[in-house]
Amino acid sequence: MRVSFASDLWQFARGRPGMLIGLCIILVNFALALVGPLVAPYATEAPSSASLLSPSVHHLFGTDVSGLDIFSRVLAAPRIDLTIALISTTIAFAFGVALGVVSGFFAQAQRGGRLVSSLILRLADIVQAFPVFVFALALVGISGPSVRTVIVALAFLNTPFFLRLTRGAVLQIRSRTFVEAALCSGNSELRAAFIHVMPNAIAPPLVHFSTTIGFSILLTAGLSFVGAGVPPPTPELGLMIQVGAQNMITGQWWTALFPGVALATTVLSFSLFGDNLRVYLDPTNRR
Amino acid sequence: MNLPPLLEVDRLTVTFHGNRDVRMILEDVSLIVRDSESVGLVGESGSGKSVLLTAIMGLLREPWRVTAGQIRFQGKDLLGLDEEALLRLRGKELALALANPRQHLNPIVTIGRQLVDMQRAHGVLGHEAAFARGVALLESVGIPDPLLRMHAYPHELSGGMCQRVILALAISNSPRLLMVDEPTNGLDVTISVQILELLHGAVKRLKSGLLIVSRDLGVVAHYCGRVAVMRQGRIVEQASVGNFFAAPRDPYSRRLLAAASAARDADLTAGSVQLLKAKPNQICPPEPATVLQIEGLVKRFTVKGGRELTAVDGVSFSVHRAEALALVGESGSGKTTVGRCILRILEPNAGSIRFAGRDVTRLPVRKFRRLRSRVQMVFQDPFDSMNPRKRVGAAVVEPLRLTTKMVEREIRRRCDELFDLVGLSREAAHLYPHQLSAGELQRVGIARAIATNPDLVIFDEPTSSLDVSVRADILNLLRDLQQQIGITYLFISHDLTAVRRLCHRVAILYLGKVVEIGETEAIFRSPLHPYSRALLSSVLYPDPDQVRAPFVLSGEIPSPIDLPTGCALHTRCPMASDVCRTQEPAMEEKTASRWLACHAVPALAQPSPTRHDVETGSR
Repeated sequence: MRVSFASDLWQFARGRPGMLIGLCIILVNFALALVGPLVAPYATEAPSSASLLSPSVHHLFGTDVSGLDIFSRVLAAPRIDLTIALISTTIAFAFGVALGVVSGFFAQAQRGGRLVSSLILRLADIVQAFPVFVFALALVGISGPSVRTVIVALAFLNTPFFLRLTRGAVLQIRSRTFVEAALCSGNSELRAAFIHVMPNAIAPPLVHFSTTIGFSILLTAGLSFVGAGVPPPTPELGLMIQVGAQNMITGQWWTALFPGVALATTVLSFSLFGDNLRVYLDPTNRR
Repeated sequence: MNLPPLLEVDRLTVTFHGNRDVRMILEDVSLIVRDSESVGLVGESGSGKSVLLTAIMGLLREPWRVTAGQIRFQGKDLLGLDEEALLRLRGKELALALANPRQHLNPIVTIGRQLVDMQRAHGVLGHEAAFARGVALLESVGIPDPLLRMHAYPHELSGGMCQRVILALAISNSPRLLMVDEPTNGLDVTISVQILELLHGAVKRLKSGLLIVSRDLGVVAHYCGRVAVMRQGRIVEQASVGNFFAAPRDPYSRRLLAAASAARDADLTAGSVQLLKAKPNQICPPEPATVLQIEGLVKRFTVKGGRELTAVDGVSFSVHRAEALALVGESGSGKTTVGRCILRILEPNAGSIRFAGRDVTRLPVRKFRRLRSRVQMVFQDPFDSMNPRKRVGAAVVEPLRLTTKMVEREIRRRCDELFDLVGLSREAAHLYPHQLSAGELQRVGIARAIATNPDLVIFDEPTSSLDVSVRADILNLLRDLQQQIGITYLFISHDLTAVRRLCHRVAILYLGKVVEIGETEAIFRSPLHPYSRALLSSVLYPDPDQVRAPFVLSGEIPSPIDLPTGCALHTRCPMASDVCRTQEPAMEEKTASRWLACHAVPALAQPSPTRHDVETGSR
């Protein structure tokens, strides 16, 4: 009988501390995304006169230059960061996998099919040739800084990675005879590609999904840092680091340190989880 | 004086320590190989043969552990030796030649370098001497231009050549014991015979012991003195070849032998299980109606460097209703490509394929899809041809869902019916491919192919990836289906024994051309074309007393990129004359319903008017 996926995964995770730690931090992040702003002891966007207080019992992480409580803002940040990362990665995943399946399935096809396949690949090349930050700045220049801009920029950036990963996996699966068998059974080529090949090629992009979320949070922060991200005073980690960095030189280390640590842990947790998920999904790595 | 035997495996037990369980891989295995003796180790996949070889070489590592028993080599206990002492033995006294030669040659090192390294690792030879000896070794295993080949990389050599190199490597230090794992695996029959002869000769010359691991009882019958049969980690029987093939004692050996012999002869010696019944000609004689007619089929592939490879070069034949036609040939003969062209998985470059009264090569793909339910295919590897994420029942009914207008209830009934027909329980439909064995899965593949009651079923080597006993079951099933529902088969295979049991007519292909076509029995009794003769005489039947009149072709199969002029066989044919080198022979009816393309074979009798007159279109 098939063991349920969740309990099997749990069995696997028990022997791997990296996976457990990653999973825990991810769960905390999701919880904070839901309730963070509610449990925050102070308002997260209303400036006060209590600027640049060092960490104390009242302000665990201190306050920033506008007198905002950093601890409250760190608690509230996942709602923005995680939302951006999740939505942009999901969009990238959907487009990347779909295009990757088509481009991989028709790579060895005749005439028209192969043309479409290489066209998709060249398109991915062009997208990947764009410097991310320049692209995001251009986008901000056109439509102004907003959460939507960041999501579009990140989705655009990440799609080619999913595309290439999927294409690679599809190329491998495409050569198996069950694909020919599916065609003989009366499947059209597109149906065979999406019904028969895709489910067998989904593991690599799925693993990449987790890692990409982590790095999307990092990029979101990076974009905020250069001013192409979400507009202040949104509680967003990158923005907080950017604002804090100016005070750090003058000795107010807490302004950038705590958001920075929060960011690092989050990114790390997604990487840990993704890496272990790859091992879990790859049957050759398990005995 | 009583010398200890060369190799003595004594009550060896090996266990596998997995994450969740400990499994017994070898249990109380005892085996003896003496000097100048050839022992065949037979068993189906998973029986522990390879683990035994690895254990003898001292290469077993975690999670495999030797938990009991001894391995003595010339009286020394191998298991007690330290790594350094083992290093001195491996490749010197003990040599192992593994299956899949291509994988076991280092791809980035030249053949010559590998031969030199092998000798220098043990010997006292200097580089020059080792190189010179390497050239001699290559020559001794029948590699042409040995000096040139010393500088070649493995990918530049064919599979047969790589197997020769592996052999040269194994005998390079004149080992006392040579162990060979599946020496003919993946090789064509005409090449296999050459390799086995070489192996036999080398061992005789060196007076060393030989341990051949093989699934092929034919190899054992002809090249070994003693047989050990392995099953599920135990040796169930050990006997001399004569005794074993005359009267196997263990029930499992009997089954194995019966399965292997069944393909050759239905009325074999008493005591063997009668696995295959009537001959094909005695059941449902083919009707004259033509189901499939192929004329002048050509398929070329463009390979790296823009060169053209001619896989199929003007093939013509026809298949009649309820007939089984075999396409026989070695790798590169184009037989599989023909099948794929019929199904329009590949687009032919020229020629016509008339099916259901229409030239399907001219139909647009969209229209052909509607015809697809009338031609179906059974694939070689049952695991590879099933979507691992779909239940097998879904795979079987997919053609019904996609190409017929049947409603759900009818589909479910047909599914049950199909599973009954191929001898599987109806519940099996709910399982996933990895929960079934290879044989069961091939039955599913057959059920899928016959689901829509097609006019023609193409079998692409349906038994070649199966173990012997399963193979016989599948052939029986195909025979039964032939009798019960009278399907038309196009049987693509290099398994000649299966062909003989199942097919009415045979077309023999060599390098993309049909060289001989005719009634199965007639061709098997007296093959006329030199290639047919070579092919048929290369078959090793599991019978040590088989009288072999070897008609051996020299050399390798030429590359289809660079086809020889004239008759493609002239480079290997002992009967070749000048005309063969320049002029391509035409297909002629040399005797009643026997068509062949050869200058050297004279017409034997006045061609008789035959109902297979469609062959007149042949080139």
